Amino acid sequence: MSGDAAAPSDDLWHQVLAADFVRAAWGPLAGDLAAHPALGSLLGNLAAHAAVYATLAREWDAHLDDPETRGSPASGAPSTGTQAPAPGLPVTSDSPLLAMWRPLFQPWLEVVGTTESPHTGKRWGGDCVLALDIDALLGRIQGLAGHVDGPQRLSEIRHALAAFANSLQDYLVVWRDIMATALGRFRSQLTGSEAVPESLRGFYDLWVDISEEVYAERAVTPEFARSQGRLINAYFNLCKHDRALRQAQDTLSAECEVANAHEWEQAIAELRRYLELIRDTVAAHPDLADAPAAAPDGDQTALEGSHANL
Amino acid sequence: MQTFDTAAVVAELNEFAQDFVRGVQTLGTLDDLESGTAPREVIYTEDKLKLYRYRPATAEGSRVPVLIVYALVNRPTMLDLQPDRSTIRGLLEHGLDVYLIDWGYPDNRDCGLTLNDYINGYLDRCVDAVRTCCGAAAVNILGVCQGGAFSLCYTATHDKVKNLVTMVTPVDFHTPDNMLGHWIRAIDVDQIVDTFGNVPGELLNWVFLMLKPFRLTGQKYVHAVKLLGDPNKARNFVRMEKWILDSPDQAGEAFREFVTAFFQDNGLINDRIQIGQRPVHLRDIRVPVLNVFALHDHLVPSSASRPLARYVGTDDYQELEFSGGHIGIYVSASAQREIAPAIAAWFRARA
Repeated sequence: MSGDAAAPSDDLWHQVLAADFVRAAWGPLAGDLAAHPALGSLLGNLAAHAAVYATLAREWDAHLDDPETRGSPASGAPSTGTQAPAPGLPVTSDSPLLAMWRPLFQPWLEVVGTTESPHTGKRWGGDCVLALDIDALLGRIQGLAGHVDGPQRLSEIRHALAAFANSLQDYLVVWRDIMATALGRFRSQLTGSEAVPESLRGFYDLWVDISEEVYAERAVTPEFARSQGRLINAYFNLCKHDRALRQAQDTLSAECEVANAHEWEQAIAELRRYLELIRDTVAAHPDLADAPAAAPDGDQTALEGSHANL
Repeated sequence: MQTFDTAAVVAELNEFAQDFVRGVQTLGTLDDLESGTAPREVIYTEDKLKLYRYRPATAEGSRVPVLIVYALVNRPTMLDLQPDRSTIRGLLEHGLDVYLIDWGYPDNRDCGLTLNDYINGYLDRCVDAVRTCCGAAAVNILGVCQGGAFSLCYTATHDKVKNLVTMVTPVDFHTPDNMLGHWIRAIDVDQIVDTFGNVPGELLNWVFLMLKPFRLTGQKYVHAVKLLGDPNKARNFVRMEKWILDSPDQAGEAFREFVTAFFQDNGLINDRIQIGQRPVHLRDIRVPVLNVFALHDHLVPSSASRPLARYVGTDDYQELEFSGGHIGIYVSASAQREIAPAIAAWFRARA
């Protein structure tokens, strides 16, 4: 960083916010990486991750003047926990908070989401839940429950889903508070008199240091433990229901197979009875056995063949 | 007023991208990524457990036998990650006769294993195997992390231990800076075990990563980009990553007991642990104890290890502080200089 006083923004914080690193760096690189799609994809993921943080910071900054959130922990002061009104980072399905949260939690959701539906062949724990698309999730489960053991099971799963959705929402609020506090300290550092980094790596490391510092403070509080515990317990409760649902479905499938086998046996017995009837009829009327078939000429061989099979 | 030099940043990002490409190319050429390569032989097996004896690095007559009891979590290859970063090789070079329990990878058939099975069963029979092997009435034990907690329980309830070293071992699970301790108290472990049987190792991995999420899921890899162009550094990095991701599932019942009795009830310091029919009282530990812990340990903070001093019944208690973290205490350059030599000297002084 230089000491050029002719910069358009009034402080380093806003200059950093205004600079679109990802676009500036990605443009020239994209051409070089075109011949290496896999590398391009990897680096693209990193860039996308960086862009999420940049969006988060801009959104947080944009809400600093919001009268409802002014004076909140955004100033960098310690928060009292989940109840404190965090600055205006909305917790919605398109929030950068959720996008930031996704790479952190996706591995966990993939592990605990090993609940592959026998019907859809898809995991129902991952993106669907992260996007808070509970209705879609409910729809799938409702489809299953309709075949299994009815409204009671559906009601339990609906409650489990609601508990999970609520706990996820609460947990994201905790994270919003953490990120807002970290951004506040980061901004204080950049706008204050303290030494600022000399490189982008320096900025990133400072951001990580501050984020870990805030996280370490918050993660040992009872509020954080309670919120995270509720989320994990709610998720495993969903897993438990899903497993029970699948076991019930397997039982139902087995019952279907038994029922089908019984129908087949009945059908075979009926065919046997029909066969015996034909044989008895033929035995009672030997003249019928020698009579020419009453069929068009071209079909005679076919009929003989058909009888032979009997 | 300071200003932001966008052109310099773009140049830095371009350099990063070039490093990235070089690193990926290097990763594609790496070989020799094995860990746990110190020469050894299996001297006892039972179910999925293997008891190894390492080939000595010093004269036969002067060696002091030591049984290493590793945790059920993660793999003991951390103790012998690579030849120049190996606690085990360090102990061998300093005159110890090293034995190691490898608990293996539990599967569904093991979900009913309890702490009684692990401590009064497997561990006790490994101790007997070592006693037979070295012809001694009692053995020296080096317990690591959760394995240290097992070793404390074992030493308090059996009279086959001569000296005990605990390494990054939690004793008081409820200290204020114990992040994992706070979290686990809020977890319904019964639901997890009843649902899954065994607890997925990947789940534990995720929990460990969440102890420092910004560093461990982001910064570590960003910094690695600069290193990966160098094959040796890339090899070191990949070996460590392999170890981190090589996380066995946890036998469900044992996990349930450990979480409930140790983490949630803090039973080790409250006299509320019972392994099988044997109540565990740390005051019953009267053999010499060396408590080794790391000052920057984010998994088992030193505050969780230090209280051992107040609870053991021995008159011969010492501590060894290491200025590093939970992993650095095995693999860092300073650990190679400080830890293995100090442990070996402590054992040899009490041989």
